[in-house]
Order: sequence, then structure tokens, then C-alpha cells
Amino acid sequence: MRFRLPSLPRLAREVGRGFTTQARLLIAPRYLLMTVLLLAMSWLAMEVYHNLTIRGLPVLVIDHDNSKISRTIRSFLGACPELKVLDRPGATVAEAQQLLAEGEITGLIYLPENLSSEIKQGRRGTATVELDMSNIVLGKNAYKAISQTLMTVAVGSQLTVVKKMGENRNRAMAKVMPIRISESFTHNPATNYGIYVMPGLIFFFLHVYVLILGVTSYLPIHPADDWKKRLGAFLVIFLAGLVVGLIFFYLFLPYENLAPSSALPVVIIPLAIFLALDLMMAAAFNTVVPSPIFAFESTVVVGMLSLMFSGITWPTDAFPAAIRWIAPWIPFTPFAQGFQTYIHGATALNELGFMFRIFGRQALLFGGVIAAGAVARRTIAAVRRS
Amino acid sequence: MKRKPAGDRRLTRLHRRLRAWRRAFGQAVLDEWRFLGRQRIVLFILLALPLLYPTVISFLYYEDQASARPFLVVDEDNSSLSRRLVRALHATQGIEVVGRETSPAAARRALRDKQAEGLVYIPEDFSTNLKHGATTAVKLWLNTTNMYTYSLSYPAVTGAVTTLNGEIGARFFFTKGLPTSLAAERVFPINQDIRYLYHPTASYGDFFVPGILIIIMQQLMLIGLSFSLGLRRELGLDDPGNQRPFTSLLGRFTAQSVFYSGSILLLVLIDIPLFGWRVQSLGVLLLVFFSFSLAMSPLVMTTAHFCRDRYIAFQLLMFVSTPLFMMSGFVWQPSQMPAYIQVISKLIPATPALQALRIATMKSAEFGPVMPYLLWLAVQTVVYFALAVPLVRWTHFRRRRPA
Repeated sequence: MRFRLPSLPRLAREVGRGFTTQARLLIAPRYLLMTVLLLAMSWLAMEVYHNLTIRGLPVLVIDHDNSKISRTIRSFLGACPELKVLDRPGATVAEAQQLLAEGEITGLIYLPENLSSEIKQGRRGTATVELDMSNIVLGKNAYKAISQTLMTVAVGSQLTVVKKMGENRNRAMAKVMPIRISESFTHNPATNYGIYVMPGLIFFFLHVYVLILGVTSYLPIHPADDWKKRLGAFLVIFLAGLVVGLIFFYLFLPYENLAPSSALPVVIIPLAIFLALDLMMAAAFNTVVPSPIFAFESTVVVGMLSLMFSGITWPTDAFPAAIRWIAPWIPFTPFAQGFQTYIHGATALNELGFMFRIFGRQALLFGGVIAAGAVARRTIAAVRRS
Repeated sequence: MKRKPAGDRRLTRLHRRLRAWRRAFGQAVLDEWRFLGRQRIVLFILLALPLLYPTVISFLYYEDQASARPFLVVDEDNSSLSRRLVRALHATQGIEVVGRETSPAAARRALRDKQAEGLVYIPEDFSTNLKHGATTAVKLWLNTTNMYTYSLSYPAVTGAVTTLNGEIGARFFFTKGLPTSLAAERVFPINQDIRYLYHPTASYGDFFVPGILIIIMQQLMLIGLSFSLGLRRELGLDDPGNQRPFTSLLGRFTAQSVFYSGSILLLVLIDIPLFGWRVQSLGVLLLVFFSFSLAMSPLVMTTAHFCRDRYIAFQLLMFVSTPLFMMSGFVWQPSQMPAYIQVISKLIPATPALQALRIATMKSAEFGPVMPYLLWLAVQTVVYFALAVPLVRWTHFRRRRPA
């Protein structure tokens, strides 16, 4: 049994035929609608996070103390961009709790009447904070803002006491907050949700798009009937994916102030490898799963899970072992981990070694599966013939 | 012969029409069941989707809370204070010190290679500064691309440093002659009594997974009916001369509803308790799921009506689920979205369903709080049916018209 490659002109002719057919298919209504849906849905998903950070979470302050300290707390809370202090004079704790239950407010800050007197007598005063944690994103943001505000006021109050005890003005801070944290948030300095979610979402859609187009070329409805024409079809899908990917990088993301910080080659090379690996994955699935429709469905199922499996929202170390093993074999996983680095900071290609290593392993696996499948198919055919 | 009065004639005509409608509906139901029996691939989808997706997703988030984020430490001071700080960091639930590097450059390389998510750098003058009565600083590098892990590790670092600050602050008051207990009271004099309501653990799985289950139901309905109708058209089993296109669609939807209802029962009564996802009332949750399915039904039927083959269901509908989930306000509050997204989100049945689900899983076991959302779903059901019937009929009869 020998595998004979066709002559180069014939190969080019067949690939060209597959290329032309797929290019014509892409402008057919079904595929056009698919591309429009990809762009529209990506845009909408991205626009959800247009504000980038959470602002103006409604909170209610019930101040029964009405001292200088409690008024400072109120005004500091009002100055937090994450919070919006509602003006409800005379509101009771029960009313505020009812508002919390109804989802009208995210937090309630209760300052009891003895807050400042306790502090003046050298004891700790207590501020009670109730937070609606049914949405952890909102709850944690409110918590952070409220907690930092209360801490700032507490430090200010302690500083006053320290100074009154005769400590030098310039050294007093060292007695209250002797250790400072100098923060450097890499890749997302403003800790905004846009950076966290947007690129992941839109490139996940691109991943699903390329996978679906790739596996569709194995379906009976597709005109490509041999590997040469399919190679031509894959080339068109690859180019379409590349164009959409570049639209995402250089039109969509800049609109949300997330233009890639790295040079074009750093952006385009991982994108091209990712798209090629997606197509190889589609081919590998079709090699392993005997029925094209089942291969189609299983590829789509894996594709749809890739966002969750990528680790960009839920960290991979919290995955169960089986999923932790599967996740790095999906091309979206290393690509997503890579763009988190090169979109948000100027990065050189050699700094993306962690991504290229996984890409390499995937290429070996998918290439191996495709080659083994081709050999097995030919062997079976030869055995049947004999 | 005596003629019947006009009112009676109208009643008889209505009665006849109703009987014909019932016959067409019943026929469509039976026909769909027979079709499902013959075409195992449709049956496979209807059974596999609700079995596979919720299990995988529940399994994925089973840990519920991702604690102990990997951190690196560079301790150039190596004093007793710096060692105490490292121990305090290690003791927090939020982070785990996975390595100690000798230089900040090497540690930052490790950060870049994703070997850790954060780095705490303690400079060599850390304790000396304190001894001289000055403030001192530790440097924190934190990968904040994942906001969830950031929300776990950042408070852990600040918490450890604040505790140490508190101890040093108390020591100052002690040196000024205050007894230990009073000295401790003087430090950070406002005690924060923080209470997390409705979801005290603030865990991710409880927050996220039940919402995904609604989206799985949405996809099951959309794909199940579209796939079945698409396959029917591929096989030439579609009847273009059908005089009651919407009734036929409704019948097929009703036939598949057995599987939808089974899936809802599976999700709510088996998956959620099995994986231990937080829920206040299974009854209210069931009501939310069924109301959502009802509101989705006209949309599902209309979508399926336009599917010319089975593949289109997968090719197009896969792009819909995630954006609809994002727009629903389940994770990101609607008030934080641009105005036009807020308008779109109000039209989607997933929006009220997910908000009601949040109440049923986190806040209340009563029917009262979810009633406004059920009403919202009911209005959507009526409006979408009113739009779907003429649309389906119009496109069906237009298709039949000879060119």
C-alpha cells in the first residue's frame, strides 16, 4: 500500500477548485447570515461591558450617630465612583433591608448612635454593612468600595489619636499604617471588566465560527468530496477567520479602548496559528468520529464549552482533573491565555513561549490523528479490495 | 325545513373549526412522535443535550470557590518581620505562596510564563525603615486580567498587610502606656461588621451555574425543534400544502415538550440537588423554568419554521446563547449597560427568567418576589404568540405561491 501525492499542478488545480467553491459558498445567504450573526453577536456581547467598570451601585446609609466621623464616612462613600448613596432621610433599617430584598439597593451601611462616642472613649465603634451578595460581581465591588472607605476613615481617626499622643506629625503615619502596598496591576491596571471579558467573548465566537465552517466542509451538503478540495475550502475559511480576527483586533476592540498594545506580527502570528489549529481540530474530529453529522455535533459541543474550558473566567486549577487534562488540547485555551498578555501590554513574540509550546503540542496531536486516520482508512480500503 | 338561527350557525361553524384544529394539532403531535421514533438523531439531541451540558458544567464548577491563588514571594529583607508577613500571606485562604524567587526579574519572568498570578516583593530595607520610625512598602505585582481571581487574591494580600499593620499599631499604643486590650481597641477604631446577605459564601458556582441551566434549556428548545423540522424538510416530509402551518408547528412543539419538561425536571430536581447548587425553593424554580419555556415557545417555533435543513440550527443558533446570557443582566447589571442594550435585553425571555431564577436560588422561597418576572414572561408569551402566528402563516403561504 502506497500513498501517492498527486502532481503539483493537479494538486493546485484541485485545491483551487475547493477554494473557489468555498469562496462562493461564503457569500451564499446561509453563510453570509452566519458571518453577520458572528459580527452582530460579538458586537452586542462586547457592548454589554461598554462601561468597563461598575459605577453608581445604589447604597443606603443609615446614620444614627450624625457625628463628625459618621458624616465623614457618608461624604467619603458619596465620593466613591463605584457607589451612589441614596438620599432617604429617616429610613429605618427594616425599610433598607426591604430595599435590599427587592434588589433596589446593593448595600446598607448602618452607623449606630454610639459610633463616635465609643471611639472617643478609646473603644472600637462598629459600622454594620449588609451587602446583597446574590450577584457576587456587584456585591464584591460594593464591598471593596465600602470597606476601603471605612478603613480610610478609621486610619484618619487613629492618626488623630497618635498625633494627640505627641507623635511627630511626619512620623505619625508610620505608627498607623507602617506597611504600604505599592500595587502594580499587570495587563489590566484599571481592573476593568472589559479587559477581562470582551476579547475572550469575541474570539470565542470566532473560534466557534471557524470550527463550524471547518466541520461543515465534511457534511454531505458540502461540495468538497476529497482532501484536496477540502484543503482549498480550509484555506478560504482560514482567510475569512483571519479577516474577522483582524476586524476584532483593530476595529471592535479599539472601539472599546482596548486596542492591542503589541506590534502587528505579535497579534497576527498567534491568530493565524490558532485558526489553523481550529481547522486541524475539525479535521481530527472528522477522522476519529466515523459519522460526519456526529463529528459535526461533537465538534460544536466541544467548541461551545471552550470559553469555560479556557480558564479565562474560571481558573484552570479549580477544574476537575479530567477537564484540566482536556482544556489545553482546545486551540482556544492557549490563544486566550496568550492574548491576555499581548493585547494589554507591549509584548515580544519570544515572551509568548507558554502559548507557542501548547500550540506545538496541539499541532502534533491533531496532525498525528489526521495522518493516522488517513493511513487507517487506506489500510481498511486495501484490505477490503484484496 | 326550519333554518337554524344565525347565532347557532356561527356556533356550529366555530365548533367545526375547533374540531378541525384539534384534529390537525393531534395529528402533528403524533406525527412528531413517530418522526422522533424513526429519526434517532433528533432523539439523541433531545436526550444528550440536557444530560451532557449540565453535567459537564456542574462538574466544572463543582469546586464552587477558587481559593489559594498561586503567588511568588521575593524576600530580600529576610528579617523576622518579613518572614511574619510571608507566613501571614501563606495563611490566608485567598493565596498560596508557591515559590520564593531570588530576584524580582526572575519572579516577573515566572509571572509572564503564567507560573503564578501574583508576586509580593519585600525590599531589603523593609524592616530597617520601620525601625527608623518611617513607613515601609512591599511591592505587589498582580495579574488582573482575570477579575475573579483578582477579587480573591487582592483582599488576601491587603488583609495580611492590614493585620500586620494592626499589630504594629497596637505595639505603639502599648509603648505609650496603654494596656494590651485597650491598645488593640485603639487600632483601626471602626470595626467593620460586614454581612453577606443571600449568598454568604459568595461562591462562583452557586452564582453562575443555575443561570447557565436556563440557557441550556433555551438552546435545547431552539436546536431540538429546528433540527427536527430541518431534517423533515431535507427528507421532503414537509407538507407545503398544509392549511394550518402554525397549528402544525404548535403540535410538533407540544410533542417535543415532553422532552423539554423532562429536561426541566432533570435539571431542577436532579442536577441542582445532586451538585448541591444553592436553591431556596425547587417549586418556585420549576415554575420559573416552565414559564420561561412557555415564553420561548413562539420564538422557538418561528425560528424552526425558517430552518431549511438540520445543520442550520447548529450553524446559526450557536452564536445566540452567550450574548443573550450576557445581555440578560444576570452577571452585569442592566443599569451598567448602554441604553440600546437595555432595550434589547428587556425583549428577551431569558432576562426576566434569569432575574426570577436569581431570586428563587438566592433570595426567597416565596412566590411573591418572582411574580413580577413571571408576569413579564406572560406578557412576552402573549405578544410573541400574537406576532408569531401571522408571521408563520404569511411566510408559509408566500412560499407556496407559484413563482
